Amino acid sequence: MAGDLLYVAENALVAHRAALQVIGNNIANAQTPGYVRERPELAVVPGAFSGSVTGSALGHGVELVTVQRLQDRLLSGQIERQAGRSGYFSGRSSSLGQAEALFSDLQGQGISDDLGRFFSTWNTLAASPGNQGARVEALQAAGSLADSFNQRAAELNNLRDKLDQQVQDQVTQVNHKLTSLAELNRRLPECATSAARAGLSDQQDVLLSDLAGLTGAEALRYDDGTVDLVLGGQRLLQGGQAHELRTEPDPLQPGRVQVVLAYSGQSAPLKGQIGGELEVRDQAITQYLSHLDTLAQTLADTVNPIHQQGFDLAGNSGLPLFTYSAAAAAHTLTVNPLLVGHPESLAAGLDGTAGDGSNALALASVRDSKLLQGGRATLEQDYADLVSEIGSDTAAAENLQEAADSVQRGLQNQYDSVSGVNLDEEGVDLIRFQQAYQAASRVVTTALALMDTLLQIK
Amino acid sequence: MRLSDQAFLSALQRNLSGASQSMQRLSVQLSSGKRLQRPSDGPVATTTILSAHADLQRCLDQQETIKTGLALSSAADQPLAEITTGLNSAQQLVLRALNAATSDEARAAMASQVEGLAAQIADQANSQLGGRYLFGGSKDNAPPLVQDVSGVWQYQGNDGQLLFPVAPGRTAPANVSGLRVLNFPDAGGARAVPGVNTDVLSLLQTVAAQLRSSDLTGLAASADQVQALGAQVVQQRAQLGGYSTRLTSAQQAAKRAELNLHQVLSDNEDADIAQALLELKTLEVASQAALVAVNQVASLPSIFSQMR
Repeated sequence: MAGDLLYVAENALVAHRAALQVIGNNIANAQTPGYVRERPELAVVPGAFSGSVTGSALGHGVELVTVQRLQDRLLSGQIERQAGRSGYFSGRSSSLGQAEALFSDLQGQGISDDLGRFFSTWNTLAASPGNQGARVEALQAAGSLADSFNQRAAELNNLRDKLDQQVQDQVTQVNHKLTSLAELNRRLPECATSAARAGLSDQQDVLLSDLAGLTGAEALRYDDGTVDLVLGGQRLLQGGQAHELRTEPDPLQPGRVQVVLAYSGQSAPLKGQIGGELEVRDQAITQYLSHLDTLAQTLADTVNPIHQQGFDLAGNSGLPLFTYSAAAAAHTLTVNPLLVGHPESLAAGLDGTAGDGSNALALASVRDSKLLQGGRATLEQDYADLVSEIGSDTAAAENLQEAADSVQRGLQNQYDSVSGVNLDEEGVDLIRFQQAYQAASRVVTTALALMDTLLQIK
Repeated sequence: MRLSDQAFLSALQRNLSGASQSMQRLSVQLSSGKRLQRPSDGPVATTTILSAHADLQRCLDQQETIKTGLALSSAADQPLAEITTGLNSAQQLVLRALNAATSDEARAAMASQVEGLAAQIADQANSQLGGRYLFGGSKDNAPPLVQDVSGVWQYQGNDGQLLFPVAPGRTAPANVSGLRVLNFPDAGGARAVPGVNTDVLSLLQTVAAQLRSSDLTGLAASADQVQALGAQVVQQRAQLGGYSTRLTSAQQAAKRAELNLHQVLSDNEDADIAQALLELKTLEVASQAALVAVNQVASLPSIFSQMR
């Protein structure tokens, strides 16, 4: 009988010590990202019928039947999908923010300022066509304007290069994470206990959330704890097999990379952060560059014929003021090398006399010509519209990111209300199981006393 | 709803970080005085601001070039006044010479005076400002009047106008050419004063010769021509005054437009200092309250501190 009691006490000591370990683990991981709190599930150990006590079966104490991982699977899936959306808008807003930073026109720098200065100097030259200083200034302003176009186009191209490199790094990260997930898929079914599985599941959740944020991939979960990952209908992960992504030169965009599925060579239908970045690289920045090219080309094509119809101080016909390559007008716009260092060759007049600034005046009046947007915008207005468009794109992406983040925070709060660790709760549980453990110890003492009593019978 | 420690701390961190970002944004607004730091702060206002800056630059350019035009027209006024005076003096001399009581010696002395007046008029017609000849038309880099070997004054300039932009697509002249002022023939041989087939300087040289030879008949005819050419100079001076008035008026309009554009820029670009300060104060209070809350929560006795 004392032996049975000792057995009951032993079961209780083991069960409560294990429960304390679970609580301790919760406390230890209270701030660990992705950790899902666990709850020890205790149950009565049913006893066999005892003949000494008529009509009852004495219990054999308590045992820890399982460690339950407290997680809302539905919410978990929603969070992963939302992470994909948040990642997409984050990729867009971050990339667009970098593009926007290149257009510091509101600070009085950039093409807007140089465009204004260019026309101002021709205005001044029109008033003083024989003035050498005014000629030097007009030539320098033309050079500065061309430099500004070149610089802005180069910076936008550099940003595309940077995004290319960033995407390549992220693809490497994605592949590492896919490999880790495949490894977890192999190990999870082999876990004998739910406790052993819990730690791996936590790692799996973090990896899934990261991958969803980067690629927008969605998880398909199975009862054995494994997951498959699907990206636009294509499997990225199937059981223990990771289908990696690969970057390779994009045949449609020389100098750029595209992301493909390594096993099929097909273009990866990426969303998430990488998808957002690629979209900005391929669409937004390309559009901005094309806008700049149109602007630079229109400027040169309008100014050159005017300059050519005039005469310089020596009575020679004007040369084209700008040269450019049609393939990349903004990037290649430059002042005609034959004019560089020869301000006297600027064709300010129409009759070849020193005081005639009528051609300079005609050139300065290009400022007021509505040359773009189907005759609705001047060069300066069109450029202002480009800057505004970039600002508008960035603001929209930031707003959408903020909204997506807000939704994700809401979902995360709901998820945490189930899966997050509350230290007060854990403290109470700690006390509860500690007291139970102490009580079980007392049962051992009592059983021993009973044994002593028996042994003292003479 | 059940609250986890991580969620609680994350929310605190996010709110503090948000308040800090907002305070940074307001501080930049206050220190720069500008409401918008980047286009995405106000895409629509960005278009307005950049367009207004371009218009403002155009306004300032106009004012600058108009200033040059006004300087040229003002500088030309005095020489025209001197030329008028010179022609008036010449005419008085001719009228005195026509008097029968005037001796041949006196007429010869008058001839010298008339030649002197002609030289003065030529000097005035060759006036310049900042290296630009005021009466050479658009050919303003060389003296318009040059005396050839035979002593005859030749006009080397043209009839070109110096045009200055006064508004988008509109210009105003700021000069009168020596060709018109002194009645030299244009490329087609036509002269500004109908019926007077000579220029001022040739006429004065003729008058000097008539004075020396006491050619009273010729002098009588010349007197009328001197008067007609004097009237032409006065008319050209009046025209220059008209140009000057137009330029002044355009400059005033440009100044008014500049003021309006400054107002547009201020409305769209300038930070509302009072509002920004108020928002900053509110955020400071909220941020301090959040920090106090964090400290208070952190100093609350936890269940663990009660355990023995």
